[in-house]
Amino acid sequence: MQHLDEGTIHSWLDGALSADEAARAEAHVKECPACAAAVAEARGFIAGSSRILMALDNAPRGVIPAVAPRKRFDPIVWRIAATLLVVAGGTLVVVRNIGNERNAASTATDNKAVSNPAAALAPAAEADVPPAMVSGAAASQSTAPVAKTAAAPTPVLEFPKKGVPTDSRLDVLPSKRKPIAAGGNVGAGAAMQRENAVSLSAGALSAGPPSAAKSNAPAPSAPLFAPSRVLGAVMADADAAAESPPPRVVGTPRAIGEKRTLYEVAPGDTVLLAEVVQTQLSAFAVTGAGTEPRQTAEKSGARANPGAAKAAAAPDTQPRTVQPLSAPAAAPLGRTMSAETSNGVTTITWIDPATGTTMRLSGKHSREELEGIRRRIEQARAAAAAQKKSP
Amino acid sequence: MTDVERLFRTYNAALVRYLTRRLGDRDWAEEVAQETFVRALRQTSIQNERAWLFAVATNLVRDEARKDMRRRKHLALLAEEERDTMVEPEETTIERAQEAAMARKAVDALAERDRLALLMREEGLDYNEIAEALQLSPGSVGTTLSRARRRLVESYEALQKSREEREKNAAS
Repeated sequence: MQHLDEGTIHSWLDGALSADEAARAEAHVKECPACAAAVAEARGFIAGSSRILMALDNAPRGVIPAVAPRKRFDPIVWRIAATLLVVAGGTLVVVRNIGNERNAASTATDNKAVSNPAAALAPAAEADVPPAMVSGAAASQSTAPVAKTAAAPTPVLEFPKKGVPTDSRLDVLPSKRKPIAAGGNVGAGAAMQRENAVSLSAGALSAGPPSAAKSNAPAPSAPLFAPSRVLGAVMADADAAAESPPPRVVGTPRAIGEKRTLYEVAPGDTVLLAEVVQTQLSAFAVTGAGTEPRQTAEKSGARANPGAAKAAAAPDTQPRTVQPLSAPAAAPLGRTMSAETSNGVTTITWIDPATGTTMRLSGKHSREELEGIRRRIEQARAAAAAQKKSP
Repeated sequence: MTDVERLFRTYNAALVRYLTRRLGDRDWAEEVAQETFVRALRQTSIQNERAWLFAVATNLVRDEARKDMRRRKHLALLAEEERDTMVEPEETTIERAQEAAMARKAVDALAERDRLALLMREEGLDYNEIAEALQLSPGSVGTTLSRARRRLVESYEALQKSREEREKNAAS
């Protein structure tokens, strides 16, 4: 008998051969080491493909698999959060999503004098506490600091996508949410606003999904497409946005303690921008009496030192969103502190004046060229921030 | 007249799993499965129930996918755009989610016929049922399945390998 072909082997293993054919196949495999090996391989493929297909069974609900999933999970934040929770007892620890900084920044600019109330609450030295006083509606997930400071009534809508948004955040802070809901007038209302509400100009749709991809939702398969609050804005002028401004972001390599962005300044020519990230713990508040002074301060509007607030916001900021470079009278650019060259790669370091973030740009260029690239990047980022700000 | 309730009880779980694997979305899968049973309701007689249900579900997906194409393209564009304009926070991916993503990619890389045959086989359809649902000759099902399984495993392993290399490069 001639060797078994792969299809026959699979048919045999799947029990699809007639009794006669199966007997013949079995007899042949006993005598033929090559076919025995092929049968073993086929068994491996059958088991392997079943296992791979089983990985698909935890598909999330209500998502469209248009793009590869992007999941984010930051264990460090949770370690810090857990530690503080244990130590502080009745204290609420809040991890806020990074994407919200634009709101904080615009709030800071809108108010002539903004203090960093977090500074008064010692452990939050590095945290940016959005000036949100959420009263009875503290649990409302669509209340945002900006919504309060905006002059016009701002429609704030939950993103209607089913399944993903609310649940995923509830998963994030299930235990911490309850006290807020029960607490009535709780200063930590800001906590719940993780990227949760957005104000666009009047009449515009404001969609604020807590981007599930950014959350720590334990679901093994994060949604494949996680529209963020930016989406509404982007949708408004998708065409305009389709042209990515040079230099183009070509990647965000991972590194601990730094946010890295790879820019392509010319075809095949990339530079690496590194921003030092100190922490992602972004909001911290104490319930009870401790909140009173802060509330008073905010209500009276006697907030000072916006710079401090911005600087404090820096660690978990998406710098592009807070850089005031989009304004015509932009703050002076941070001066380059150092420039060094090794192996043909020059690195320049400076501190972003808007955020206080230490920035490093390196690439195979001269220092002057890098300075030029830096300006281009900052312009591109400022433009992107401006675009997000005014859809 | 087909007893739809019996059909539903017998085949719904397998059909939904098949569709979930096919579509990557449980809600969508359930909708398509329900529509499949609604279609069954309109039939006076169905010869091979399982093959019929899987064939109809497969066709429904195909039709809907066609309708959906435009919307998806738009969303994909937006998602890509958003990635370009955002600085990603540091992320530690969940192992299982990564596996699911790779599995999705590997399954999507298969030829449509291979993929459907394999997914149907995983739900227990025999070779004749698969042949009927996909309008293949029964003799070619073994070949189709062997090719599908080999390619799936190989492309999954390739994805795994390139991921490991990426991680090694990122670490160094």
